[in-house]
Amino acid sequence: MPTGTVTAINSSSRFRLAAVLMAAGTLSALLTIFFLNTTRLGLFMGAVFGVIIAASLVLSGTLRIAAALQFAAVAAVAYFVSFLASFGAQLALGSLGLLTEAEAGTMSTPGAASPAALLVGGLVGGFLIIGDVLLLAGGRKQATSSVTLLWSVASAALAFTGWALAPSLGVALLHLVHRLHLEGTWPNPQGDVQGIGAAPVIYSVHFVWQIGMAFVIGFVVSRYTPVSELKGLQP
Amino acid sequence: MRASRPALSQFFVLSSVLSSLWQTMRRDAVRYLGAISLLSAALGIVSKPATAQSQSYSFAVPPVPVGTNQFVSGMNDKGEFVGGYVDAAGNQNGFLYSNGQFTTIDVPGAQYPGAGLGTIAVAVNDEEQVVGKYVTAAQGTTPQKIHGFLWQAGQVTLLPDYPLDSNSTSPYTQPYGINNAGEIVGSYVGGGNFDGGFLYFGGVYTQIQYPNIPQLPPSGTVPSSINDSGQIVGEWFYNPNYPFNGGVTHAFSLSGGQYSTVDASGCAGGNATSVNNAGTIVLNSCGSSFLLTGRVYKPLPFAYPNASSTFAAKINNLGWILGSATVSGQNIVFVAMPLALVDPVPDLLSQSAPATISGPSLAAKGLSGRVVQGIAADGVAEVLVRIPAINVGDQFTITLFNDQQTPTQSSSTAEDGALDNPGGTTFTQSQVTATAIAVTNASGQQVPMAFAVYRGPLDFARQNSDTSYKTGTCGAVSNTDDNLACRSVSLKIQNQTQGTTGTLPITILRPPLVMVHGLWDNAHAWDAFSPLVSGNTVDSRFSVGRPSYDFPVKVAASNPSYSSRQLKNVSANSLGFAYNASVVVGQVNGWIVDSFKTGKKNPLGIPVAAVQADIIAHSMGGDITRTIVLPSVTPTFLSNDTFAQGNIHKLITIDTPHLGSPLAAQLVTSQEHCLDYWILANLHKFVFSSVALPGGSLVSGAVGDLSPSSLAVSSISSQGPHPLPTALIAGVYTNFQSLQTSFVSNAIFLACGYSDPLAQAIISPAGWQAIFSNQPNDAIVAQASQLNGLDSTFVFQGFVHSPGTENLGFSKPSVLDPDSVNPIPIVVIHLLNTPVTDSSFKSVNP
Repeated sequence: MPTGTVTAINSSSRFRLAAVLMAAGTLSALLTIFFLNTTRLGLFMGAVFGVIIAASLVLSGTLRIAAALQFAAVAAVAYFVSFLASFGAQLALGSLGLLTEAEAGTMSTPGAASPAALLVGGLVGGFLIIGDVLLLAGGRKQATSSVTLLWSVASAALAFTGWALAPSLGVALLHLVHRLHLEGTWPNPQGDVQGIGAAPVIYSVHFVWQIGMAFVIGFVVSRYTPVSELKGLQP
Repeated sequence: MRASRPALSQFFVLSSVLSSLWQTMRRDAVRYLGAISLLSAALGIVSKPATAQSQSYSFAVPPVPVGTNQFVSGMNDKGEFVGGYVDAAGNQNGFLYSNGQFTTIDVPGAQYPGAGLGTIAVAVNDEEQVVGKYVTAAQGTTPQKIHGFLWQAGQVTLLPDYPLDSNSTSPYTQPYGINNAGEIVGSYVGGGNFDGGFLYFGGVYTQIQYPNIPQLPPSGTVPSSINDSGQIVGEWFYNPNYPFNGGVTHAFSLSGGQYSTVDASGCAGGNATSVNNAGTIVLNSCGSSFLLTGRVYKPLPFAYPNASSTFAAKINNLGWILGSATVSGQNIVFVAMPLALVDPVPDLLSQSAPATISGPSLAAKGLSGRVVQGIAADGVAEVLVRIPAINVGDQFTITLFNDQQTPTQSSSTAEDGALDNPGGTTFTQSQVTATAIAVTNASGQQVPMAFAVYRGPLDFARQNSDTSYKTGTCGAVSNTDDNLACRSVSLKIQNQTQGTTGTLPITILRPPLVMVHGLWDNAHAWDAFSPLVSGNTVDSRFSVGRPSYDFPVKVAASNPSYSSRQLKNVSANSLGFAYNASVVVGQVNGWIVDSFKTGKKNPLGIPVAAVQADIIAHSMGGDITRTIVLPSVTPTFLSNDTFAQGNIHKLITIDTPHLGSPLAAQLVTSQEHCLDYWILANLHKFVFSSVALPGGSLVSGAVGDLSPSSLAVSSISSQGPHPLPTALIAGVYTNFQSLQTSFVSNAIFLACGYSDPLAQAIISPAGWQAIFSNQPNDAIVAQASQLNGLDSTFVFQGFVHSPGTENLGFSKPSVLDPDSVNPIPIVVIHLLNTPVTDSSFKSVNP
């Protein structure tokens, strides 16, 4: 059942929307990395992604402002919830003796995220965001379908990919941040340059996940929103 | 016989020949030496680093008896010399000099007027067996002949003349060398202007003949020396390369039945005149003297003072070199004796108080100990100065000189260190007198040796009255002391009897530096503490060691209790002060050995005497370091091996809870079960009051020890056996608002906030500060505890306890961050350059 928040979409421009959102995701990822090192948005860090993607959807004529605000709020919450899920997964892995020394961390080096914990976090965060997008675009029926779960797995895969690319992409982003004088000292420059610290993982995961999820959102919005309903909602 | 052929044992003649060669070849010397260097590089022969020092020598004129035309031709390892002289009656005699006494050696019937005729002693071994030659006059149809002899304890044994065939013997049979087995090498003259070499042992002659010498007379092989392994060296030659035809001889070595020519590379020829048991060959080639060991040619490591040329002829197993030099046109015979700095720990130390180098034991053990090239500036380490002498009773004056542009006798013990005699403890003098005593060597023989003791300065960096630093030199680098890795002083050693001098440089290094991490941490804690440490790179001025006590520990049970599955993840960094102190003290000592005593890991790569280390400690690392000095933990801390001063020079603590932390006291309460059990333990961070090890022994836990009321804290606060001069650095965190928006702090709050007071406080700036009674703190330790309740100027606002603490929601920077955002690394380096007597260092164990 349409919610009335989707305003318009043209089937021929589905991939164009995905591409636009990917660009927005790239901007969001870079801004997130920037804010990681220059401000302490803390609990509101997920709002960066939410606001930029929502704005893109509004500007592309896909969402109305009210729906966009809702998406931004859900994205911010999803970020925190996915963090909690990762945190809990990391502790659970620790209780099973499955954390490496680097993942357990020390008093001088924050623990690096475990890939298994990132999978859990990605799954949870993806579920919330994709579910919300489908709810806004396709209605409750779409949101509660297996499609949400399917794309949540994609979200988890993106998080894992980000982790896997940390030694290359993450270190490259670290150097970029360093060149822009944004990194300060957090958390362990030497270890990070060697690809073993937490910062390359964080940078890489943010970069890959946000760009990838932006594309997924664009694709999902255009793929799973009934064209007839879209047309019917055109002004 | 060619009377004009160079007599190897008479190196007056040898040096004359070599001097002549030198004159003709001097212009080419640079080219030759350059060629040697190039070949050495091509062969992969590695030269010492520029900072490595060469051997230093003292010089003496070997003794000769009263008479004329005296010369010295051989020596052994006991400081005994042989040679010849012409007595008042005009007779040529041989002599043996031993323990201040001359013994005349004459072969009966060999007394002929005139120098060079009669008896000449050529070589002596450690058994005081002397070989030489004597001359018999022509009698009737029998021509004048030269024969060999062996002398021992006044008894002369005439060697048979070398048999040329069944009917005739050589007219010239001359021994040149003898080893400790009694094997004699020398040469004979055969027919057809041919010189042959021989080895004589057990009444049997064996010919020594360099293979495939062209049959162009005069030609031959002349062995000159044999060592205890049977290695023989000498020269071979053939016309037209015979020296007096304008050519040169070639040096050879015969070892294991294999002949090899050992002329210095790039040289047209050479002459090997001596070999010792280390296989070091004295080689004269290209008009210069070399020492050849294995395949490595080294120029003679000294020049006789003020000499225009210096040549070597003989070398013994102590490294003494008998040689000649030209000073102001005069030919001087000398013996160069290697000076040595010896680390006395532990072989030469007294076993009872006071902890000193034991004077009486030097007669038996004076040649033991480890030879070093320098000393650490810790004010405790001592080096024994070993001065070879020719006679027991010879006196030497040893004077300490500073390193200023025109070195002068030291007037500052604090800056230059000081001298004393063995057994002394005052070390206030810059000049001492030493008398040679008889020292037993490894073979049980006695050699004369004099000793003095040098103790290094208390601090490396010397400050002027305006706190600027004095200038020193390290290798080729001159700079102020704070920027140097080493500086130097020197000892001038004067033989009071002869007036000869030698100079012995002593390199002074900073004490080894050890950085000790804290609770739940490892050696990587220091990875970003630049410029002192940056990952695997350390400041080149320092020898930085980073102990780690994060190894896994098997724990049978614990209080509070954890599941057996969790206990599998316990590391030593969750255990208490005493447990880890015993680990860290071993690692500190290990680093002193690795970095200094072996010379492997200090900035210069040279062996150095060192006793103490400077220690930088973060957090609980400071408590552990203070625990090291407790007799109950380290009973041997003040052992004689440290001259009863311990192995810590100075301590710099950063955010150390000297008085404990209320945070630790709260963590060990049962109220924090959720935080301790479900969060920290799953991240391998255990909150123990105590643990039982598999053997049943009980060990205190780190967090339990960090509680202000713990026995561990009160133990380190009580009066100790060592003052432990400590500089106290404190960080103070100010941005508590950051807790409110932290993911981790909120996650902890959500997980455990229902029951744990700390989990409730972690999202509340006021709540967290209340843990510390609203006193300044670094989020983990109160400032007052970091300063041990004392005053300090080293308090830094805005810094959190550690980067890992930032993970809880506290914001950067931390006290372990690099100098780009954190002044503490620079302050630490400043403190390392600050005298330990400065008020910056407090005696935390008064």
